[in-house]
Amino acid sequence: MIEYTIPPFLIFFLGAALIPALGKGRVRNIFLVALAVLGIVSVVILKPQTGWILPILPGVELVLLQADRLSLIMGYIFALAGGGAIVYALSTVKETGQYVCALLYMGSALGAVFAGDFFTLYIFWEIMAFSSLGLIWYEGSRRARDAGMRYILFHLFGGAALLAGIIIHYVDTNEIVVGPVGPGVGYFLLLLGIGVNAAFIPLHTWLPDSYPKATIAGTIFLSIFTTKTGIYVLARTFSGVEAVAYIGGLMCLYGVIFAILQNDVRKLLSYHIVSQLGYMVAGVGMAAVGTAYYEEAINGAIAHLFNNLLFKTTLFMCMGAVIYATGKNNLTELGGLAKKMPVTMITCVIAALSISGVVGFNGYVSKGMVIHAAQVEGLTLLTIALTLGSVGTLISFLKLTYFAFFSKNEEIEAKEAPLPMLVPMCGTAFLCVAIGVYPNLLYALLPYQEAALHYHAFEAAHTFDVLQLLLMTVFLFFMLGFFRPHDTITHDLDYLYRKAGRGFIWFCEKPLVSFALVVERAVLRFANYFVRFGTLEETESQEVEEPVVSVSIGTAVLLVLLFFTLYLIVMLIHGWLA
Amino acid sequence: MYYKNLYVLEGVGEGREMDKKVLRGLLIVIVSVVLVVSAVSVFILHSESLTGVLYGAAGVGLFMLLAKILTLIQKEGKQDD
Repeated sequence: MIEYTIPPFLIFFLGAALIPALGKGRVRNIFLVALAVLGIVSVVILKPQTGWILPILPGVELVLLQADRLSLIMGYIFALAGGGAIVYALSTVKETGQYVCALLYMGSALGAVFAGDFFTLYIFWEIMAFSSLGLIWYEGSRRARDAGMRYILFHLFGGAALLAGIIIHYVDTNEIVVGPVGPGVGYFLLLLGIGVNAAFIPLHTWLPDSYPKATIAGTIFLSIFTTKTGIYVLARTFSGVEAVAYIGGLMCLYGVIFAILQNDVRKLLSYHIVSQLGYMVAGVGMAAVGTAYYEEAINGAIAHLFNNLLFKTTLFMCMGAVIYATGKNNLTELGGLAKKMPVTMITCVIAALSISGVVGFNGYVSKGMVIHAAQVEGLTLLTIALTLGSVGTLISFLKLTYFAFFSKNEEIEAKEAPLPMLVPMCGTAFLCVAIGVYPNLLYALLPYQEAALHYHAFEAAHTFDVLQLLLMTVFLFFMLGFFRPHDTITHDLDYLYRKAGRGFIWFCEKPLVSFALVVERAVLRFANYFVRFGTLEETESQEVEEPVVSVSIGTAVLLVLLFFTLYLIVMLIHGWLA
Repeated sequence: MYYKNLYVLEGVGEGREMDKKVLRGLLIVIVSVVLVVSAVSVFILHSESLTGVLYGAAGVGLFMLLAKILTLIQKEGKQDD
């Protein structure tokens, strides 16, 4: 029997190439829905240990597809959530270019998780960065353009670090397969490169800066792929590094406290991505290879990634629908939408209960797995951080749902979102409940199914503990009334980066330029002296006017990073062929 | 005033301020009793059956404190560009 295995990225890349030819009407919409379904089918029919190798030069091969249980579960959820996002986009996206960016982004994310070697991974990693940039820039405003620039600078920096790490790792070990990395300079560069995508503190600032400024549909695509690909590669390369586990604990608390302070709904959700990534990073960091806890910790991290994509996509879709219907982003301007947008409200409440880890919803299952792994490994500090993170999550989602839907606002005008927006929202919300009620649905997909079946999500003591924690938090939230939204903004670490950046520009423009002028004058005088000394006849000096080409600092840095990346690629291929 | 922050009491008329004060007092008493019972259970009786209550209270307290500290670096505005 012949088995047809096509790398799923090819379907989306072909779709991106074809879509400009389809106009802007119904044909394009049908094509997009068909592509979403085909994408899901292409991943579902993949079997573990399937491969697809492309020889590009003698002795150089790209492993474009290498499926195992870890990459397959990533493929399933990427195809499912991405498919939902495509359907959702039908109501809000008119520009063909935005669909091209979304399809390239989705395809490259699938390419990255199925990549069998580091170089293939790097290629898809960079395509992801540039295609996702389009989803930010299509918003059209100056804010979006500036945020996009900062986004791509961060990702080029991360990409350059990743590539440098890959080259050093390859030169040291002669190994290019995506897998654990030995200590050394390459180790830190790889961790740095992956850390940018996984939004490690303090490399996270691109995320809450850019995601709220993207298009409505663009934010949903962005929330699905970049960070989760980072977690996947982290699980492949850095599992069992205890420092990584503690970075996860820090992310969990840091993200949640900044989320609580936000007024912009999409910014609140963006900080929550950082916080929820913390659980995944902690799970990966706890999974020391060869220990009894490895399988449980990896299962916990990946289960939370899977569930997070379901509830976080639902939340972004709901808030996108609210912005679409009201034109307002801030909690201080919202309220009173529960009766006007009932379906959106119900799906949002389901997703909020899920992310908060309420019993009977999917977040309860996967969060419990990660916290349980920390408990059995005796990581007390991490257990406390992750548990307190749950409290903060519930506070911010009580704030989000209460002030968006239930607080009094008689002036607000809105009507329910259109059907293409509601269908994927309801689908993902349904899966949040289904997995929460019957976790075996998820266990069957996890990388280590046997270990997953040994975890009992509904153990009485654990369930009772979680219920107490949640009830106490809800009670105090409403009783104290402390977490009301305000029309204020909170500086994050990017404030320091921007200050440092401005300082650097000032340094380049003032002292450095002055110094360069002084040196130039000195050299010219010196040269002039020799010219006069060497010539017998006095000639008139000619002033040559040089054309002045000015580029912005951002563009200059972008060009430098691009050239550096190009240089690193040449180095890698040179080393490969040697 | 403390009771003015109760979201659940928003919209209650001015003439019922006494009721609000009584309700607020009752809520504080209930929370205090639950916290004391939980603390005794966890720290003195070494039972883990009420740790969730303490985690919930500690978490809310911690985030209130952190939020208060972070207000020092907040500024008026809609979006930090």
